[in-house]
Amino acid sequence: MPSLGTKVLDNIINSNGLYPTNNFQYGTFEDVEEVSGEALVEKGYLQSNKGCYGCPIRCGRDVKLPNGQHGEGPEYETGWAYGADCGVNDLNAITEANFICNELGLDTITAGTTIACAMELYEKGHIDKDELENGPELKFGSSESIVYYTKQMGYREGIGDELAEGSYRLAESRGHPELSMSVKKQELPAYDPRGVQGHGLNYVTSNRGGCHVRGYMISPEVLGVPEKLDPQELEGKPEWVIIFQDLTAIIDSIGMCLFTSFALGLDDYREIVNAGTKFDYTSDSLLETGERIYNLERQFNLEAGITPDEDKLPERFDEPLPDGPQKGINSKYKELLPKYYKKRGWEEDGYISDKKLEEMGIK
Amino acid sequence: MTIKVKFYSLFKINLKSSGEVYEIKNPITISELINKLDNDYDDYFTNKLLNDKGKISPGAIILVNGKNILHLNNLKTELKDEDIITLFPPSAGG
Repeated sequence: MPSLGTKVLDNIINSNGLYPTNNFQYGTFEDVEEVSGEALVEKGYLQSNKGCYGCPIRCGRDVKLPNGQHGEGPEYETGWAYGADCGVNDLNAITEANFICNELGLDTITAGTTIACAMELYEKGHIDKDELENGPELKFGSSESIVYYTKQMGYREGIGDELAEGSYRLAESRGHPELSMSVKKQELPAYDPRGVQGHGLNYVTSNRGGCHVRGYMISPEVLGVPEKLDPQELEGKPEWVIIFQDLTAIIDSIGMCLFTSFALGLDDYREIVNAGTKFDYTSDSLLETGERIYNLERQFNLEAGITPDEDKLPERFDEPLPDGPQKGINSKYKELLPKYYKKRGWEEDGYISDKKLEEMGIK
Repeated sequence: MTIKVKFYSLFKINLKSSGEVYEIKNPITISELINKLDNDYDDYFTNKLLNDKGKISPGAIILVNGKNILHLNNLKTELKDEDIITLFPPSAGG
């Protein structure tokens, strides 16, 4: 992590065939080596690594471009959203777009993948050229577009005013919500769910929508931490997803960086919490706290109107991956979801019973 | 037969090499490939990919045509003509 940061993942994820390309139409990107973490080093853009206060890992990227622009990033997700997801192989442009997001306070995954969605809408004729008002054509591969339309988005200028609403509202307004790669209207990050079945289940059940962070199944299914699971195996995946989600809820509540979990386990977090607070958790009671947090979040969502029928992936993922080492495989999340609900102790329809809420101390 | 080995991440950066192409007469296993690579790279790969019991180091990633050998035949996975073997040291990210 210190030497390549999270961008160590570009080649790993691409070699495993789950590197979403052109708005999740493909699972591999031919030009990955132009935009990878290694490339950031080899092209001389990386000045040094940097870290959050007090961190011994220091996975951040201190980057300077040939034109003198200097800033932080891109991270793996950013580099992918503006890179392969938009079909763009220009690391310089990707980094510029990233810097603009930093300056303007835009989420880089949402910004990049919304542009990717717009590119597919444009390709299929659902956005007209004259709507671009002399801006660069919104074509996959356009390094001008990713920089230009990020600025448009940030300042709500031209079509940027629509892009600023995110890919779901953009696609829906054009009559094609199925072209937004999102769950609960949050854009999916840099891993095709068809290549990792457990991670796909996490996308569907995350309380935050299309999120990889809060149940990072990539860790066991691709990276082999804490142990290597077969990404295409379905057996045991609901249980793993639940543990990752509950454990992540704890780590988030402690305020620690999730990357500590590549080295620390539940017992370590228990010791840290108890030492810092004089609470008296056991590992089991700490994990239960994570479960309670997860249930509380879901109950909030349910009462706010995000119903269980939003626990789904875009239809694209019912279709098989068309390329790469995982060609021919589709997402099996529909098989896993009922088992997940059951393991969680929820109703078959995905709601949480009053009895369960009382048990959890939520009601 | 021809097999292609690709180095990424710290392997690529530290060895300053993106990999090797080997012409070999008979099929070899991953174990044998690691030995072959060691000959060219001064025992580097045994140290980085295997633990002291000779098993794959936790987190080390060895792919054959994009599939992790842990789900094939582990170190005994046999290589055939045109196979691409991709090597990564243990990695983390998000």
